[in-house]
Amino acid sequence: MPRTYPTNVYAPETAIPPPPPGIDLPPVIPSKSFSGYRIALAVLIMLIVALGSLEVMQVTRYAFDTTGSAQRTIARQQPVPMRTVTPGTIKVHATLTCGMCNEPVLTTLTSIAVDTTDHRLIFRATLQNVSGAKQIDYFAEFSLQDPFGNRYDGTGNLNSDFF
Amino acid sequence: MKTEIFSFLPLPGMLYTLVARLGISGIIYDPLQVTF
Repeated sequence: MPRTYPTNVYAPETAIPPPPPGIDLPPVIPSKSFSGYRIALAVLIMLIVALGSLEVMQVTRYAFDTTGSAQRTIARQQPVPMRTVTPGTIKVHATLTCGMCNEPVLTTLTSIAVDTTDHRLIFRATLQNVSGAKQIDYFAEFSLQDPFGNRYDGTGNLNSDFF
Repeated sequence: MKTEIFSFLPLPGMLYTLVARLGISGIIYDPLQVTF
């Protein structure tokens, strides 16, 4: 004969009493939204770890795989004491030659002035028509270029006036 | 006498090349190298 057990051992009138006034209960978080929050937090942590790993890999590759270029880049960033050119006027006598022509206009540099006050160079030159024929011409270009490919065009009357 | 002004200060010891070319005759002068 099967044994029977009591189905309810608690009296129905022994319910949990409400908390006394003044005591706040912690908010009840629905289990579904709490689970979503945990998933979002896990995804965020995974993203942070993945991006951090990528950054470390890139820095490591830049430092070790391309050691030469990295060193050059660092070397360029070193502060270099700026040397300045000495102000004054240099007397020169340099004639511009023209290997492919018969030099109808003899151009001779006579002086170069270094003006550190106004940060400029002043070239003075004489032009001489040695061909004897009447000539009208102008300098379409009279520029200085440095080894880095920078070009400095003149702004004086040699670079624009007809002669 | 003609004057040409370059609005920069060169770096000492650096080699600069003067390039000159006439517009009408098309004459291109040989590059002249200058250091300061």
